[in-house]
Amino acid sequence: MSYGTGTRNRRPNYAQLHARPLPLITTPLPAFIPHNPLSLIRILHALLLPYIAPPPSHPAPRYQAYFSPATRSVHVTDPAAVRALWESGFFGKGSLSRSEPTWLEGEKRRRGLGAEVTSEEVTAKRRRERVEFKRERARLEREAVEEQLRKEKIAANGGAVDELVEKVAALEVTEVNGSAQAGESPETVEDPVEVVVEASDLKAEAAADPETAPAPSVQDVDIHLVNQEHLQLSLEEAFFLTYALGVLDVQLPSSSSPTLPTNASYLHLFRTHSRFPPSATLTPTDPFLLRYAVYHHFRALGWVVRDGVKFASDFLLYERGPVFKHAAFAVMVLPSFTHEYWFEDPLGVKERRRVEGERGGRDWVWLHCVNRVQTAVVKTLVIAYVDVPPPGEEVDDVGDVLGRYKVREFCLSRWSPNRNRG
Amino acid sequence: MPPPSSEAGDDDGSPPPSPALSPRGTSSTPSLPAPSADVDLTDEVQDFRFLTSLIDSETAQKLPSRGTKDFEPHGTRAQDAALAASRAAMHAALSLARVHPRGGQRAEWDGKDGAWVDKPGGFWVRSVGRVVRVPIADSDSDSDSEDQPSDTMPTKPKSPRKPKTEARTHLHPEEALWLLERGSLDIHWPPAPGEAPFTGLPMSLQGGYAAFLGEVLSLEVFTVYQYLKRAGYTVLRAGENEGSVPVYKAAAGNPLSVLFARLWTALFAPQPAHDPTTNTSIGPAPTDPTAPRVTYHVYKPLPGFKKTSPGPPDFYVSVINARESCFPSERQLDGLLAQTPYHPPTGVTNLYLRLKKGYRDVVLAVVDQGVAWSMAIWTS
Repeated sequence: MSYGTGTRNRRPNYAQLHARPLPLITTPLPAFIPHNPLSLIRILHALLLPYIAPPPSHPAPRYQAYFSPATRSVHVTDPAAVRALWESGFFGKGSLSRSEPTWLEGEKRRRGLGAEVTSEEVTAKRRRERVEFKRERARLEREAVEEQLRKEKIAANGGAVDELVEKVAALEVTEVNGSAQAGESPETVEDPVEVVVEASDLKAEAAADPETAPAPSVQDVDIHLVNQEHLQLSLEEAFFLTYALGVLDVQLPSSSSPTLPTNASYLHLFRTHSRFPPSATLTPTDPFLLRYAVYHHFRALGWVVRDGVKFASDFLLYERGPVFKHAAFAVMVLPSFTHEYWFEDPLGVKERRRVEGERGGRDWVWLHCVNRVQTAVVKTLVIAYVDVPPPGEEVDDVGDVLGRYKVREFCLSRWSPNRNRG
Repeated sequence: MPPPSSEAGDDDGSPPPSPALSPRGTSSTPSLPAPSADVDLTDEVQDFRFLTSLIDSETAQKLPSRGTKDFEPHGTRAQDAALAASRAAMHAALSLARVHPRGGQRAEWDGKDGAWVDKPGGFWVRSVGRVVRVPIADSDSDSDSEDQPSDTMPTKPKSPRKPKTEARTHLHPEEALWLLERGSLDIHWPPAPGEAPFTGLPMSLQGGYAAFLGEVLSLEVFTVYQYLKRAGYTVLRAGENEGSVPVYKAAAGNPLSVLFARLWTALFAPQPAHDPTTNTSIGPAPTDPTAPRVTYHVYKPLPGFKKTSPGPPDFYVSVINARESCFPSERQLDGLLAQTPYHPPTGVTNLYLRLKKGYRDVVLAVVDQGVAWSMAIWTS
């Protein structure tokens, strides 16, 4: 018996769907083919075109989003922007879905409108099959025990016992001596009544199963479904899209000016809201700055970075995106203090103590907890230390602020002496 | 601790490589092919009936096996019998008298931190202990025991112009204590003055722990040492094995690719990050004096190991007391990793492999009140 016995749903062509790693448009140079002189003309055309009519690299109107102070996140409601941000770069999370915003699809399917199968449904189906598998396994084990009990009862009553006793004894001996030949197969004796009961159980379950249940007729369905889901961007994602890529405008909910004027004001807004309650006193140890430095670092290296709160970490690193492969790494962000300000200036020492805690760092129990979770979900733990600079004067250039933070990553994994000997 | 058997002298604490064939679990239930995601080897229990086979000398070369576990008693006699057999085997193994083999090796506590071995020999000499040249005692003072010179209080040679020395095997405290625990060595207290060496009272286990643990050897370090030794590894002190650590020699890179790499980083400067390629040397921690130290160099149990020329170590282990330290800071980790050799991943362009293969790596053995837990940590 194996998992996934049902017919596999055909997947969309993810490689084509997610061909662009970021929501930017790039125009690569055409290939040069030596025996085809026309290819030179194509290359020349591609090289000269930007001077005459530059092709767009950014979406023509920037994507619009609004900042939600209550949830400390940035919401995107325009469906085109939601699709674009998800498909190229895997930004954000559907507010009513697991990750990809699929609430509308699922809702249509639920009402019998025949939309695509969502990933949540695939997961639910797999879980049902797993439960079924475990139930079947438990039934076989139970039957084997009953069979053994029956044999022993016969043996105790002294019926046609001798051979049974011998058989059981032989079973014992082979087990103790270590030859793996187990006794007879317990599936030889099958209780017909039991089988019938099981089958009827399965039938009743199938009827109760929502997927195989007959769909409601189309007349009952309200055709005009309103999409009640929005894409929810974390503050780091929103800042990366505005500052680093320049494809997003964030509006404040109650403000006269629709969007913020500069990147520095975005940075100020997000730093203010990275603590709870929001405070206007900014320090170099703001959680937003530490997290954004790491986010930007791994994005710049080419990773798809997503929030790791599901696995009790700060970020997850995907190689191309969550639809292609599981995340192989989970990142924990830790501050690192190397500048002398943090050891000599009384204010610096106080702030460092506040961040590091009484013991001057995380204890080993914390590390064991984190690493245990990551081992259980087959991810490697990455500790990303962010070297915090001393406080300086506030500058308007975001690049100057971020350039003073330095990231260094260490990888950790469990090491077992018994598995490294070979 | 393996129970002593007649063949105990042959193995080095490592399990023999013979394939396991052994009792399945206590249940004879049919098992469907379990999905691999549900199988966690650490969740399984050991079947102690394998201990009976260790006592029988004919079947001593067997590995313990793991099987499906029974979660509750289901009233069959087969299960009860299996449980009883397992218990009996456990009791039999525990009730076996542990005696040191007659005519075993002898050693004598050196009064400080180690022991001198009488006549070195046996399986463990290949990887444990070191030969030291000591001045020989005067021949007229102990003419009766020329081959067993006393060393606890070596008498000064009377004629300095003719310093006679001899080679003797000395054990570190962890080595002596491990061999004592294992039953491979009889350690004696120093004899009363005037008596022949190796005739003092035999040292008990308790006495061994009291004598050998102290400033030089902490209980945490010894816990890790004996754990690694029992797993079969060869363990050498890092401080005495620095000559074996390989030194990195940079291969001459393609000048064009070097130029391109520089141009690339200049054009597309990402978030400032640590460059692991800047420091390729090995040395004690220069950045932070509080950085943990590499305690042991560990070698895989491979044939052909020579104590005198061990070659580059396989693992670098740092022993850490969990109750007295926190997870190290960036500077401390940097200082710790600086004590291990630099080995850049060559020819790796893949994003995943670049993070998965580090430039330096070390194994941290964290001991929390006697419970050891180890993990690898590497820079990338």
